[in-house]
Amino acid sequence: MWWLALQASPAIEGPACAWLALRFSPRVARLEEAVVLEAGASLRLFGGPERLVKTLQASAAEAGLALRISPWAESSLAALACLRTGALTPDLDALPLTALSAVAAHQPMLERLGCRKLGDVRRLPRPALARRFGPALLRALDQAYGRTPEAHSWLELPEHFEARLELPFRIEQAPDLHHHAESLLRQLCAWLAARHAGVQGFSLGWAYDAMRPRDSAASGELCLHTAEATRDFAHLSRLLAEHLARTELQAPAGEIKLTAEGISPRHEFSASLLVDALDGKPREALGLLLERLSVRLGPECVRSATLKEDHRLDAMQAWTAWPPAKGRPATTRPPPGPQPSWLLDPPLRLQTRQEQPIHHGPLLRITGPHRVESGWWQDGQQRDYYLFFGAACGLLWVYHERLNADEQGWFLHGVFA
Amino acid sequence: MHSAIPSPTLTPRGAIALPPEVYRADGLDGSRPGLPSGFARLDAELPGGGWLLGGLNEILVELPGALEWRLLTPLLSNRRDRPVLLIAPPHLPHLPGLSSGPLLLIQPQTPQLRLWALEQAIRSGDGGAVLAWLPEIRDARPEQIRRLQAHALASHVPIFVFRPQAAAAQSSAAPLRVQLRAREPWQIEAHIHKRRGPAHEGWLALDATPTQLEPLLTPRMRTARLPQRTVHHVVARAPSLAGH
Repeated sequence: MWWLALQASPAIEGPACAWLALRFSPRVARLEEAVVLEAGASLRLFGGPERLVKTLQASAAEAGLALRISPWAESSLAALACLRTGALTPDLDALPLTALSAVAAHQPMLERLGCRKLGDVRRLPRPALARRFGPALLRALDQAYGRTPEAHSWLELPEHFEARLELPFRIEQAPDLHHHAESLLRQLCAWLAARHAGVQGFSLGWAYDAMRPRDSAASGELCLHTAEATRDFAHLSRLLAEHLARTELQAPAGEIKLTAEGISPRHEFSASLLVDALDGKPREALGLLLERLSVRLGPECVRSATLKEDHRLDAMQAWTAWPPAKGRPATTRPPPGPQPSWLLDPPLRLQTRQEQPIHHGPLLRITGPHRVESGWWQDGQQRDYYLFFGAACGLLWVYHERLNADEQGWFLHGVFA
Repeated sequence: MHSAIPSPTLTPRGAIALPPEVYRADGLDGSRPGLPSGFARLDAELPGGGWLLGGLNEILVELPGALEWRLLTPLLSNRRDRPVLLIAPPHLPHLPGLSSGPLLLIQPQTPQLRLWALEQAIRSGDGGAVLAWLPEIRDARPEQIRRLQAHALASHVPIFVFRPQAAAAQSSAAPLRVQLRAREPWQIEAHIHKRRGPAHEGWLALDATPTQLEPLLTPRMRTARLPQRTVHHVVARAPSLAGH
């Protein structure tokens, strides 16, 4: 039997710790103040006892929890005793009487009998011990030493995630909700770890206090979406903080609620064989960075482009808010003629001197015209493109267009930078 | 006592083994290999033989958006697999004319947000390259550049910050500062304003013809030159050069 006892430090309310343990084995139970886990059947899957503890610590850190973990023990009571006393080896005989609750209840009497350690109690004659202290003490000792089987009611993972928290006091500013929402987020991350899944969105709801203005609603809600399924507590928490910073509460909130939306299995990456490969690894994946940027700056400020097949310069690409819509990118043929590397949108009308354009000083015409005539179904462009060079502004892609019957204009449309 | 210690000036050059992060004042710092810029003449003058990794590459330009792509196209076309972050570019990038990886455009509204976004991008350390424009001299104070540089130390992504020519007078924590200008259509000229090595004199002429224009050029266009100063000449000569 391979038993571990774990406890969050500092201790937290709620089932987060147990859910985290459910990732490693279905045999997880709550025992007094700790969670115990029997992992004998899944040791090989997680690469042995030491690797399992390391993975457990890592997944706890990902869910924003710090865990105290006992050494491996023969029984759940022994693991709990080690956790309580902070013992590094599961040597029950050397542990103090307070390590087992059933023994601790009779501590004054046992001490008067001269028992200081659990080993002293174990060496007392059994029939006399049972007569004097009742059967509970003897049973607990036997179970801790692995002589009698233990019975646990195993914990199960709920099918859907929904967590509520009644706030200790009324909160008036949305950013102050963040601290309380974090404890719910930890539960969410632990639940996701047990499901081997990631979340693509979650919503934080709050119920307003009964003493609220008449025109405000009874509750409010904030929906968040991530581009990739994740269960990274730090990222979700930062994302939530960004959203809360720009939210306003209509009235003091008294209760919060977190629901998960869009659970999908997460792709697990295999660890690298080489140690050096870690060195150049990014500290934050690009997707997470862009998500944070688009929350803070606004979705229209973070964009990516797709190519379109068109002959008009300004219709060759479409810049849309990131992330781009899913779907296979259309393959486009490269447009004919040279293409500049910058595009001015809208085109800049250039001043002219003696019918020739000027821009930051005189311009030298190098080649042209290249006629682009297209788009009769929309705007009907008819433009002659020329390549100009200016000492300050580089190689310019300038077009000449007839605006109406007696007016023509030179427009700067692109730069070969 | 003192005579027993050999003085460094007396030993032949190279006899003292220097730790890798120390370089001689008359040589370039080669402790960290750089990313080849694609211009042999420039690489020969850059410490580490190319653009700096783990630090800011500060490029000083006369007019934002005039020469940047021509300078960086050789580098970016080698790193096509990762997306390139553009922070506050002066114009819209035109994808058909570029040969880089996918581009991500980030356009913060204020200079403050621009610096914030740049700092976040540097700290993330992901992507193929980070290109940021700070077109006004007041967009970034020296201590803000120092802060960015401190974050960039641990980065494995090349970071380019484009600043105005006037910033050359200001001190900057960026380990590499390059001034750019163009006096002829097919060449760009670079002057290394600051590097880990001796001061750089003069301007390096780099052949940087935009790849999109390459098939179009005739020998006559290759020799096209701006006339000196007199505006009347431009008007008179321009049509003849265009081959009319």
